[in-house]
Amino acid sequence: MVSGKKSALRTVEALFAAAILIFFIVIMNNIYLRKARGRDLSLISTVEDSLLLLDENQSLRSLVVSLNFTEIEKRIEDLGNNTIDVEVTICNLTMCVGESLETENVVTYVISGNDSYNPFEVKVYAKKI
Amino acid sequence: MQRKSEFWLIGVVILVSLAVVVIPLSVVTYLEKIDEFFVENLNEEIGRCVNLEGCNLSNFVGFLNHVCSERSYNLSTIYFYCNTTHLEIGNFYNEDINLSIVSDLLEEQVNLRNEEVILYDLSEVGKEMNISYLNKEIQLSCQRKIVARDLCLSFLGSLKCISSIS
Repeated sequence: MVSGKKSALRTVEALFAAAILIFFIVIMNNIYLRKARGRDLSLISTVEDSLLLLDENQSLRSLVVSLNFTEIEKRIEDLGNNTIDVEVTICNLTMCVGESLETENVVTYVISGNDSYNPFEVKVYAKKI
Repeated sequence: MQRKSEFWLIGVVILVSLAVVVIPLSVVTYLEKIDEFFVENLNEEIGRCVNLEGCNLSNFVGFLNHVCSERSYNLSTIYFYCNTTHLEIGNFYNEDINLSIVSDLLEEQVNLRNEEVILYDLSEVGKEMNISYLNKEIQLSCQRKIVARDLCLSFLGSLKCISSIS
């Protein structure tokens, strides 16, 4: 009977240990995820919305094809109420123009061309000011 | 003997905890890494490309492949493009695909190799057809420019796919 009680106690101990372990793993995983991501989802969403808006306004594609990355930066910063610092690079298979920022908050947008086929990749690097 | 059974119990509890907590969290981490905005953008751009002068779909898919590989994504796509005169099928699915094309004028089984593009003259196929591939079936009505595509991005075991026609 005593050994039965003891083993029940040990089982409860084991369950406590497992609970502590689970808690520890969840906390560590969350810390790891935050560090690994290092991404500001609201900032990324602002940049994505800005790109879509510029594309709907029919201004993005002509700016990309003419490699006018400074104007794209200015417009995205304006749409973000000048609370974000933005750098833009425009690349095709042979060259890249523009500058990048040291940040995890990068949005990639691909265009197939403006009036004629001319594919480019636009990368927007963003940081909150 | 009793101690042995306790170790066994602790071992089981730990393994179950790991299975219940760690594995789903890891999967969520991987799933989050495929960017939905990016996938949507690629898919829409394939649809836009065909309305541009000089659009070369296979070349564009090659460009998209380059952009995806920079992000360590693996792109698999198959497209069916037709205008009023031609049908173009491009397989960039990283595997050979068996297709069945059935129309009033044609009934054909085709093995389309990876990175292969085939062209049909619509005068030989007709403007309405059913195409079966990868356990799917699509109906194409080539009265105007149409591009149907399946696009999948994979990254570390997670997969995001879009099928659309426009």
